[in-house]
Amino acid sequence: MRKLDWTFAREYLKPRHKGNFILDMNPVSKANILLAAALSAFFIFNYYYAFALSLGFIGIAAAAKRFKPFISIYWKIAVCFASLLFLVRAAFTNGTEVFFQLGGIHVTPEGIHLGLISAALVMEFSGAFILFIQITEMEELVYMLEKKGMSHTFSYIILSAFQTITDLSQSAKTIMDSQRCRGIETEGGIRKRAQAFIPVLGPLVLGAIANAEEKSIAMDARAFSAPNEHSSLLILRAVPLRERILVGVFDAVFLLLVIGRVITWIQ
Amino acid sequence: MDTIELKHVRYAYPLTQKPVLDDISVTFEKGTFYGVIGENGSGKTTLCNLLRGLIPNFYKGELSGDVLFDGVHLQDLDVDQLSVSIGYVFQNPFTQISGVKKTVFEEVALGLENLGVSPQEIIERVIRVLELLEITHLAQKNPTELSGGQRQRVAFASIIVMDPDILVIDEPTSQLDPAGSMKVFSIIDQLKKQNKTIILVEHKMNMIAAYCDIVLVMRDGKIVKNGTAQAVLSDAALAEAGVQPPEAALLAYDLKAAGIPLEDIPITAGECCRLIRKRWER
Repeated sequence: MRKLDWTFAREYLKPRHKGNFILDMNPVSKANILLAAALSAFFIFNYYYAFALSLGFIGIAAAAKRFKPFISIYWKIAVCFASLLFLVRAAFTNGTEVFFQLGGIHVTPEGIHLGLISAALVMEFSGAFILFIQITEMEELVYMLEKKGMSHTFSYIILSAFQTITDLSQSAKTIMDSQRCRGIETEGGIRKRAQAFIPVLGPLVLGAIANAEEKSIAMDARAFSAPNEHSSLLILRAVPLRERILVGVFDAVFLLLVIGRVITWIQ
Repeated sequence: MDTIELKHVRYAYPLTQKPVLDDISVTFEKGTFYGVIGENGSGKTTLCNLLRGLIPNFYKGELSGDVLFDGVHLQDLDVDQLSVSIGYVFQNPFTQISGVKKTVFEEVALGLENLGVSPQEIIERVIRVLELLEITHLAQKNPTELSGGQRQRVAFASIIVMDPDILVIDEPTSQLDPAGSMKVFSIIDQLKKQNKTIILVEHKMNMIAAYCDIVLVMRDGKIVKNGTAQAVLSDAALAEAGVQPPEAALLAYDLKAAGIPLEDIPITAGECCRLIRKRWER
């Protein structure tokens, strides 16, 4: 039998440390800061600010050494969706002056402005969300939420929901591979791919439901509902003072923004 | 927990008429190794689900008769407490991985976390079990990326680390090679020596013959034979229940047909050698 160095196991007795300020931040602090930043753009309502925030998120992802995974999702979701939103807003919003007209399409300065704002808000908000997912381990997040009173069952649901996404894509790949083995064409244009993929959705979903049932029994076998307080191999460090201050600054600025906006509305 | 007693138990799954368990009466005593054998669809897994309390708490359907855990009716028991006293290793290792842990080490530790064991003790117990099952090389691997056989051993480790009084094990070696199967059986045997009750469903007759104290043969939801491994597995009528006798017994039948009968019908290779030698020396 191969003898293993159990040093890694002893690490479970210490608070988890990744050696990166951003990654080491408490998940709740990260959520707090990113939510405050993301929502602030809705109160400032300026596309320069929102775009700057988006760039800031890219910078944070790079600083956390998560640039590649962040950008690979970000450009697909945020940039594609934001571009589409900009085009729709810019092409169909009425305004004082028409720059260009073709059939029902009429590009106006108001449309461009609204399009830029909408696109910038979508980019910054989705950027904050994707960044949070990329720099936060779900296990750490639910651990903290459990510490703050969330039920153990709910935390398992969150964790397993994320895992189900991976499981489903793996199952879909397996089914598609077996379809290919049976001689069904699964490659080609969108139409051909859809023809191959849509029929497997039924078995895929039914399989996932059957697995969910067995998994719940498996969790029961692991004393998931044991009538006692659970322990954990995960230990997160105590939130340092500078992190508390950072969160406090973000919250204070956000609160001032909200108050400022409310005062502006009243006047 | 010491004994589980079933009295005239009958169970049918929801929306079905035919009972999967039909008039089952049997007592499982502490510290005994029970082997449950029978052809596919004979009700072995359903019996495991009942012994673990999943019937009727998880699987509804019609259950009649008495299921007593240390004399207490199943219906009167705290099901959550059962998960602590009775460990259950399933047939399908692919759904027995929680999917929420990133390493095998953490996966095996999950049950202990749920039991509220201290981190220091969790680490010690997990290391001990991984070494016992010879899967230390998997400790830092992602459980979802393991092969079927590896998952089966991890699933087994995840249950035995919890140290339950009773272990219900449904085909723990279905995806293992012969060496892996031998290892699992020797561990189960060690657990029995720690006075644990083992209820094992298995198709590998040679293993059942070598390790089990009592063998139950199931057919069409009924227990058609119940006795010591020697008595049940050497019974010539075993094949009628759709079960192939162990190789040692088959060899003895062949020798008898060839006019070289042995003194007794052996069920293990060692016993077979002993009887052949005895016959040779006669």
